Amino acid sequence: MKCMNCGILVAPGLDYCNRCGWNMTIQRKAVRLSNLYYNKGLEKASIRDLSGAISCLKQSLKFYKNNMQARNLLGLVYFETGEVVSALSEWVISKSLTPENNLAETYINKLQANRNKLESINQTIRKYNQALEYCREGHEDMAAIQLRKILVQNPKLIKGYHLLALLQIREGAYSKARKILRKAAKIDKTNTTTLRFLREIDLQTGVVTNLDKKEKGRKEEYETDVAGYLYRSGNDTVIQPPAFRESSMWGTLVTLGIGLAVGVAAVWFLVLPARTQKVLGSANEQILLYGDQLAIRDAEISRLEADLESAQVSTNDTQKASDETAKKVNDYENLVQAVSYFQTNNYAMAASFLTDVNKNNLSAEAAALYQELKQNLTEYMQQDGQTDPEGQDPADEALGDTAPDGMDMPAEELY
Amino acid sequence: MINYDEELKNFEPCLDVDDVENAIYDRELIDVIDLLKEMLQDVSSGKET
Repeated sequence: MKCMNCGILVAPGLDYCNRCGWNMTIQRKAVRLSNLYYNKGLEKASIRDLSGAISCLKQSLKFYKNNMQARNLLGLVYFETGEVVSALSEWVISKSLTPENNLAETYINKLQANRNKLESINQTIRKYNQALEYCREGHEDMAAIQLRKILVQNPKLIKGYHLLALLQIREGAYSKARKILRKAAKIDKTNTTTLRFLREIDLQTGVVTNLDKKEKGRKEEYETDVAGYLYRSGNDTVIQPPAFRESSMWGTLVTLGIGLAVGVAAVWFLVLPARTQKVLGSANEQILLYGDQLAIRDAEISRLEADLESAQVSTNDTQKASDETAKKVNDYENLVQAVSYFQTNNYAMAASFLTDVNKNNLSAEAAALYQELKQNLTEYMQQDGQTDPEGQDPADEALGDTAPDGMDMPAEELY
Repeated sequence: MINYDEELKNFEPCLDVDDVENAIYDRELIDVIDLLKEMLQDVSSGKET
């Protein structure tokens, strides 16, 4: 440690400076107290008690102004509360007192490197001063507008929150003021101005402000003697029974098996019948459709059969007519042959052809011709004396009743 | 009950960044040890006289 009086380095074990005789004990005590206050300040700064931290660190510097760490931390805390000029002052002083290995130099360089940010902060400071002037002149509404803009640009300016909250309290807008002060409390928990204003709002509204963090689902859990967990949710205390956990493998398997069986049963009794019904329904529809088609085809077949039958009948009739026509033609040909042979006096051949003629198939003229030819043949053949040795008349034999076959049998033999 | 005017008096303007130099010069950097030194000097000068 350096002697505060003459500045020479004194060994740690010595109580007096070996040059000037300065009492090092008091100096060491002052330094120890400074460090003590620095530690307290650091603790408060870490839990966002910035007002408390500022107080402790100032005290620390009162005991020992060369406490570099305390001064740098004080500058940081000032910067966090929006007091940029105070922060810069502390860092500059720290750097001048302890030029080597000093973090303050880093902080200053960072601030100066970002010119735009620094200028923006400077602007907000000027606007804040302007807003304060507006308040003093009675233009509270303009001041409020100005302050809202400032707090958007520089959300760390606690003084801005305080002034805006004061204006809102004056107007009676307590809920708005409470919101603003909550934001200020997030930066500095124990700021006296913030707490004072909040107490005023609580008195006016009758509702106590809760500055605890409101995180959804956040709860403090801790075990109790009772089986389960006890936790707080807001103002309620909730006891949650412990969750059941399966520990044995067989138990798990049995549970799985039961679950599977239940699932299969559910599918079998609930799902399958509906599906079966659906399938059967569609099958029935198909069957009906096919039935209709079959009926149509059957009707078609019947119609075609009837057509075929009628065609067959007409074919038979046609055939019959054709046969009859052929017979008639044959009869006429035989008649013509008979006439031809008669004309050539070949009476036997003429008679032969004439016997093949069915006079029923002839027309009236042809039948008359047939009859005439038959008479003529009979006469000529009788004249020629052509008789059968058995005594039958050859004319009768040649010109027998030319009834169709079978017709010359006795009636009783026809049947 | 908060008095608006009284509270307003407690609000002071923020220092501009351009005023840092003056702020540093105006700062008093006296600690306990400086006071002790002064006291001892007073005592020793008082003894001499």
